Amino acid sequence: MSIYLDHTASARPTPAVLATYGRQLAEVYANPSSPHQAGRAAEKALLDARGRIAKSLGCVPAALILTSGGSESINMALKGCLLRPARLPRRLLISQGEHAAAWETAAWLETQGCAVERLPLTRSGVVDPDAFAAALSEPAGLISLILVNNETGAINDVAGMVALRDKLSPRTPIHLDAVQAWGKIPLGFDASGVDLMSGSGHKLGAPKGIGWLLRQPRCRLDPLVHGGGQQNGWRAGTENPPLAAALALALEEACVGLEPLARTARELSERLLAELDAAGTRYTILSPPVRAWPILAIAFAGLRGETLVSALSAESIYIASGSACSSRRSKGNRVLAAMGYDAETVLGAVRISFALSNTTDEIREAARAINTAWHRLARP
Amino acid sequence: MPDLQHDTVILARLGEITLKGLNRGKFERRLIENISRRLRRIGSFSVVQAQSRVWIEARDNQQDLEAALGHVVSVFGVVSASPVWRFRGDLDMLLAQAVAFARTQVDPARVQSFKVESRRGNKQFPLTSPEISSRVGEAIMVALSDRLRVDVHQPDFTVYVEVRDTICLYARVVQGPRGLPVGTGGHGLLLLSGGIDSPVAGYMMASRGMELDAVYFHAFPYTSDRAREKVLALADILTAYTGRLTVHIVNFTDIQIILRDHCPPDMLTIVTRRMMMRIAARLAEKVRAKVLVTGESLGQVASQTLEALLTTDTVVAMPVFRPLIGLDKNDTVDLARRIGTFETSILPYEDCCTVFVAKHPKTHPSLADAVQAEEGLDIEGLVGQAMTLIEEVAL
Repeated sequence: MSIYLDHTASARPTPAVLATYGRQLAEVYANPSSPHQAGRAAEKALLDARGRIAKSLGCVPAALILTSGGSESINMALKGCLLRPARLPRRLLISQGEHAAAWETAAWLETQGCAVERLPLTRSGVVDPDAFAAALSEPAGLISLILVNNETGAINDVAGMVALRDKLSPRTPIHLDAVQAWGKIPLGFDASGVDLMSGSGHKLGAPKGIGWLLRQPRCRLDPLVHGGGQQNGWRAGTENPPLAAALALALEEACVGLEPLARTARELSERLLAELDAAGTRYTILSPPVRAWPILAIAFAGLRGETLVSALSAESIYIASGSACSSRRSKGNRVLAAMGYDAETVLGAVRISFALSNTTDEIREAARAINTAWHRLARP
Repeated sequence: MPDLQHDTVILARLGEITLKGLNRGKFERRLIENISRRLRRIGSFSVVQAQSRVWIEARDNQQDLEAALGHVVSVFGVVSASPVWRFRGDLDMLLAQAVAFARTQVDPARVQSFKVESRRGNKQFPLTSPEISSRVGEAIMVALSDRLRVDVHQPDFTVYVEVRDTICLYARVVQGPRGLPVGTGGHGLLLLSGGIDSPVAGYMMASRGMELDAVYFHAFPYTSDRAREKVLALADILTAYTGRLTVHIVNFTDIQIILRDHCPPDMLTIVTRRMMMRIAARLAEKVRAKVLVTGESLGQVASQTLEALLTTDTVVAMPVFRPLIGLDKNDTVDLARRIGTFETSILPYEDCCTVFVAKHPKTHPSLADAVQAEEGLDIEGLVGQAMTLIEEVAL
């Protein structure tokens, strides 16, 4: 039996989600835009799913734009805001903690004439509030920040940032990359006060290939994908009722599981650390003390993250490495470096991520494997 | 109108082999064997040698001659190859076949230029070579004057005519890799890493006829399973040139840990390489290889300075061939691209030489430094241990 501790990379769908998806694939195959009865049945299934999805996300269905996933949603938010003819300047504020989906899109936007400011992180991995306030002294076309960092679980202070924006630059919209937030922390779009929010289905147990961008009506945005006018012209492309239904169910399960997950993940992560301590394994916790509990970033002294990932993989225990290195250039981890960690620590980083399905026995087994590997392979 | 039957066959030309003296037959037989073995993968072909050339013929019309051509021109010893029309007959037959052949070369989109070149091996044939060219050219022009014109200096294509006991027509000449047939140059053991150089070194020795085995030192989990897969993928690409290739994967992790804990960091790379050479030499004896082959190039990295190379050479009793020793890195990269290993070589998975590399390795180690660094190590025990930890993958 394998032990899966990489839910942040992709979560495992529950049997109920798979059953819904499989059934709808077989039954709801018509195009929801077709006027015949089969098409209308598909449309009805889609509308039903959209309603449920919106409810779980804390917004009205009209705010929901279904996309192919997180990267598309983030691309749409950034490009859709900044490339349209607008009264606001083409200035984008992001942080050094962004996922590549926003980071690389911002870099591309720079080549298109946009100014990009990359705000520094504190040691806890969140946006430095002073730098944020200072950056708002000039008008900007968009603020785009990651809500829960995918590497560390650090949570940016949305309420604080919305308040600052309202005070200093009320017309600048805020986009949150909330891909790792949904299903890990309590969250509602309307209540958040932000203008745009992205998410991805497979991070919380839906199949891959579906994500969303939520948009408040006040936020002006251009579509990214043009075509047949689906989703009121916001995102062209034949809609996918089975995927939407699977997402609706996965989101509902995630909402119900939110509190138990936080409790379980915290317990499991404490159990893991206790087992490491008992064996004398030396490590540094890179995640901040308060975080989205399912994500634990940790660096082992004198042992490369990649080496540990391989060693555990050989025992069918799956975690993620915090940085990718290659023989001649060590590609560090941009986010951990921005938090002020030295190259040696960053090389040793791994990410362990928990789900409700993980058990104490699994964590004990994973800790045993880590301890064995560390004592054999590490030279601190 | 004569009956226009012809065979379509592949004609492969041999280079250096034809200069061999008494053992030329041995080289030719090996080449035919190598071509046959390569073609066996894709179908049923007969491969025979005649008049210093090799003729490849499909045993039935189900075979893909174009695919066969691709394989033939990657076999060492082949200088070039052409798909040819082959038939028997007199001048009338030749002219009719040449017109039909020229028709297959016509580009419907534009008027092309051509010329004819002839060779007459059969001196019984009534015309000389220039006369053959002229008559064939004239016949083609008469038949295809709206599509073709003659240009003897820079033609779009050339119709080659060879008159021997049969007559051959062809227009395409595909270059082969030249060199000598694999299996005529002895047997070597290639130290294969995942980098750019060692596959090229293997290719170069194979081009001189050397048969190869390969050895790869795997230090899992310091080197990942992907690194191992990458090396096997490189070896698989090499088999297109080397023929059968067995990769011996040495589980090197425990030895590497022992070396790391034992040696000063700045000598670790040298000591590791000396250990690899010892293990490789022992393995070479086992597989009856007479020489080690590496991808080292003088001065490329700290472990490839002259001193470092000398220090590693002293631990083995057999010669070490380094075909890239005087090559510029750019030339090696060009070769890697040409033989198709480059894209795989640059995948970012490290090999075990780089896992524990010191910030400042000794670039000019003396033999005494190396011996001192190894003091107290049970060298013989470690080599023996490595020999029990080898996995063979036959490609």
